[in-house]
Amino acid sequence: MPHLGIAVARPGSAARGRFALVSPTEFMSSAGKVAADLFDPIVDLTFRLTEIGSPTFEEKQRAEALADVLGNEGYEAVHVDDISNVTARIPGKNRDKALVVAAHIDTVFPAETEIAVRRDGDTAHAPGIGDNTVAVATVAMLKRAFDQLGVQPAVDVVVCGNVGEEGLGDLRGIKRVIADTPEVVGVLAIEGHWFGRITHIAVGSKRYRVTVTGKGGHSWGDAGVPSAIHHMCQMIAKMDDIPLSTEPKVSFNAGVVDGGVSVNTIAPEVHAILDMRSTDAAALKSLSDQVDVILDIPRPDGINVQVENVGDRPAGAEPIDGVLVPIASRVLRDLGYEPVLDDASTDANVPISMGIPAVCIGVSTGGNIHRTDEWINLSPIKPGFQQLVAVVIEAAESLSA
Amino acid sequence: MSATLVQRLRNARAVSGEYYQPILDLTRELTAISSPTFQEADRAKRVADVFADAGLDAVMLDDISNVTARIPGKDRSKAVLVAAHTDTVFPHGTDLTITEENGKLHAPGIGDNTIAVAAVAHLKAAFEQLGEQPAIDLILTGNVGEEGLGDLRGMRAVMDANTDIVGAIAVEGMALGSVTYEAVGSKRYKVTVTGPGGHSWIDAGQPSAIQHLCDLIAQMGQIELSDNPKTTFNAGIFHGGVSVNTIAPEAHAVLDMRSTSAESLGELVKQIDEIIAGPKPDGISVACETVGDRPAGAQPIESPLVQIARNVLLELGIDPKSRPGSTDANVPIARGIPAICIGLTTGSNAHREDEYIDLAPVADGFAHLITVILEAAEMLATE
Repeated sequence: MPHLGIAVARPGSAARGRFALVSPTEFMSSAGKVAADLFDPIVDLTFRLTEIGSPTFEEKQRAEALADVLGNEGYEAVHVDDISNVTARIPGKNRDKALVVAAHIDTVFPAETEIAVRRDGDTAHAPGIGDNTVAVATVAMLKRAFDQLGVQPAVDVVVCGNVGEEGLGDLRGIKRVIADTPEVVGVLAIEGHWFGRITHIAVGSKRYRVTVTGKGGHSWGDAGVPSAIHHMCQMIAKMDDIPLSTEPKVSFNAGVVDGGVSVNTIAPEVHAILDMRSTDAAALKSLSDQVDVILDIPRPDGINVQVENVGDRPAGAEPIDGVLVPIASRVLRDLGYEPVLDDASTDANVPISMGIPAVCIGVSTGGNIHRTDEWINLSPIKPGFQQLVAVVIEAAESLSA
Repeated sequence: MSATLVQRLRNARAVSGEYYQPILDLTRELTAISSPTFQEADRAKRVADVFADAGLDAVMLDDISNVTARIPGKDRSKAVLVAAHTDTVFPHGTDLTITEENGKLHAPGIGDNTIAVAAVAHLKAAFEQLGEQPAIDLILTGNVGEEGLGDLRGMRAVMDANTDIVGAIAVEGMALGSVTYEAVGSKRYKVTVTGPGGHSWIDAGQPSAIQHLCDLIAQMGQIELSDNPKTTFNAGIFHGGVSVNTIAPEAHAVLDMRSTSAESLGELVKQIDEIIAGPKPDGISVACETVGDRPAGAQPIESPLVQIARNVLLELGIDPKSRPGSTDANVPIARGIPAICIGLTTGSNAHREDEYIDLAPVADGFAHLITVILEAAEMLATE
C-alpha cells in the first residue's frame, strides 16, 4: 500500500502539458486542495447514504435521497427513472456528447440488515459503505469541485447513481442509463474500494440455477428409481471435464449445491448454481454452449432438469492504448501511485461490450466487501477524489475530439 | 399346520383380552418417558422396575441401559431372546401427549416401539395364566439403540452378554402381519470434501470441493448393482459451497449402501472405498466417517422359525407379509442365529409426531406373540 498523502504542487516543477506530467501540476495541486476541502462533506454524505439500506431491486429510497442531494448541489436535469436510476448533468462546453460517471447505489445486503456507521479513527465500518456508497458520495460532489476549480468539462458529464450492479441485478441499471443517453461517448464506473486499480477488462459471466427433480422414494424399497442427486453429479462431473483456456481466460464454477431429504431417501430434488466467466465473449459463449449440451444429456426416466438464467454479463476489453486507460494511469502516477490494471465484472462491462470507451476506477480502500463487517479507510478519499476530478476533466477533454 | 399351534393360539386368544387394558396402561406410562436413542436411561429404569414387579428372574440393567430379564424354561441350557427396543427417534423436548380417537392412540413413539415393550412386560403373567412354561429360557429385553445412529448397539450387547441364545424374536409395535426374516444390512458414510476455496475468477484453476464430490458420486453412480441379492446405493444428502462465485471450500454427502447379502454389501463398500480413495487434485482432502453399520443376512423362508410366525398369522386370518428390513433381528441373523421380527398391532406415521397405533388388533396381536414365542421355544429346544 503506497503512502496515502495528498499530492502537493512542487513549485518550479517542469510543466509538460496540463495533465501529462510525472510530477504534480498546478491543476492537480488545485484539485488536491479541493479534495481536502470536500473531504468532510464527502464523508458526511457517505455516512448518510450508507444508512439508507439499498438492496439490489430495492434501491428506491436511496435513489430519492440522492436525487435530493444532486438537486441541492445545483445539477441540471436531475432525474429518477422508473427502476430508480438517478441521473443529473453538469453541462459541458460541447453539449452533443456526454461522459457518464456511474456509481452504483445498490448493495448486497438485504433490507433487514442493521446499518449504523461506526467511525474508528481513520476507518469507518458499515455494510455497503465502500461497495459502493463512498463512490456515490464522491460522484455527487463533482459539480462542487468543478465550480470551486472554475473548470467546465469539455463535454456534458452525466453523473449517475445506478441500480442493479450486484448479483442478480445483472447490470440492469447501467444498461438502462446507457440506452437512455444516446450521446454517450465514454463511461467511468466508480467503485469505493479499489483506489489504485484501473479495471479495463470486462469479465463476462453467465450464471445458471439448475434444478433437477425426480420421483424420489425410499432408498431400499424404491431402489432403481433415479436420484436427482445422482443425475446432478453426473452432469457436474462432465462439466468438470470441459477444457478451459487460460488465454483468453475462461472459468467454470459450480458454486453452491443443495439437495436431498435424508440418507435413506432417493433425492427428489437438488439445486446447483453455476458460474461461467471469461474476458472473451466468444470463449464465454463456447463454454456456455458446452454446458448447455451437458445439461441436455439423456436423463433417466422421471428425471427433469430445469435451467434458469440468473446472470448474464457481457465480456470485453477497453484497449490499453485507448483513450481512458492512459489518462487514468497517468493521473494515478501523478499522484504517486503505480496503477494496477486488472479485470473484473463491473458496470463498465456494459459500455465496453458495446465498444464505448470505459474503465472502472476506485476512490478509496478497505476490506470485507459483501460482509456486514465491511470497512473503508477515510484518508484515501482525498487522493481518490482528486484522481476522479482529474480523470473526468481530462477524459471529457479527450472524448470531445 | 400343527395341532399344538392352533390350540395354543386358541388358548392365548381366550385370555389375551384381559391384557388389553394393562398393556395400554403401561404403553401410556412408558410413552410419556422420553427416550431418544443414546438417552434411554430414564425409560430403561422404569422398564427394569416393571420387569421386577412382574416377577421376572435376573432383572438387569447394563451400562448402556439395556434391560434384560429371564423366564426360566424347562431346559435351562438354551434361551430364546424376545427383544423390544426402548429408544425412539424423538429428541428430548418433543411433546409426548397421548390422544385417543376413533380406536387409535396417537403419540410420538407409541407404536415404534413402546407398545411392544409393554406387551413383552406382560408375557410372564400370560404364560402363568395359560399354565405354560416355555421349553427353553426366555430372555426378555428392552434394548437400546435400534433407531438411526444407534446402529443396533443394544441388540449387539445383549447378544454378546448371553451366549446361550439360540433364537431371537424382535417385536415391533406397528408391524402386525409381517415376518421379517431377511436382514437388510447397511453401511452409511458421511463424506466431507475440503479444498482451498477461493474466488471463482481470481483463483480459477483451484480445485473445488463440490466438483470433486460430484466426480466421486458420478463414479459411484456407475457401479453395477445386483438385483439378487438385492443391493442398493444412494447418495441421499448432498450440499456444499458458499456462493455462486466462490470455489467451494467444503462439500458433504451422506451415502447409504444396503444389501441382504453381507458379501454383496462388502463388495459394494469396497468399490465405494476405492472411489473415495482415488486420485484427487492437489489441495483436496476427503474425509469419510462411518455413520451407520448394520449387518446383513438372510434365512430361507422355509426355516422353522419363519414358518411358525407365518402360520400363526395365517391361523389368525392375516396374510403374512415378508419384506426384507433393517431391524434388531439383523444382529442374530448376521450371526447365523435363527431370528425374525414380528409385530404387535398395526399403526402408521412412524417417525412422525402424528404417529398412531390401532387399538382393535392389540389383543390378537398379543395372542400371536405368545403363540409364536411358545412354539419357537419348543422348536428350538429340539434343534
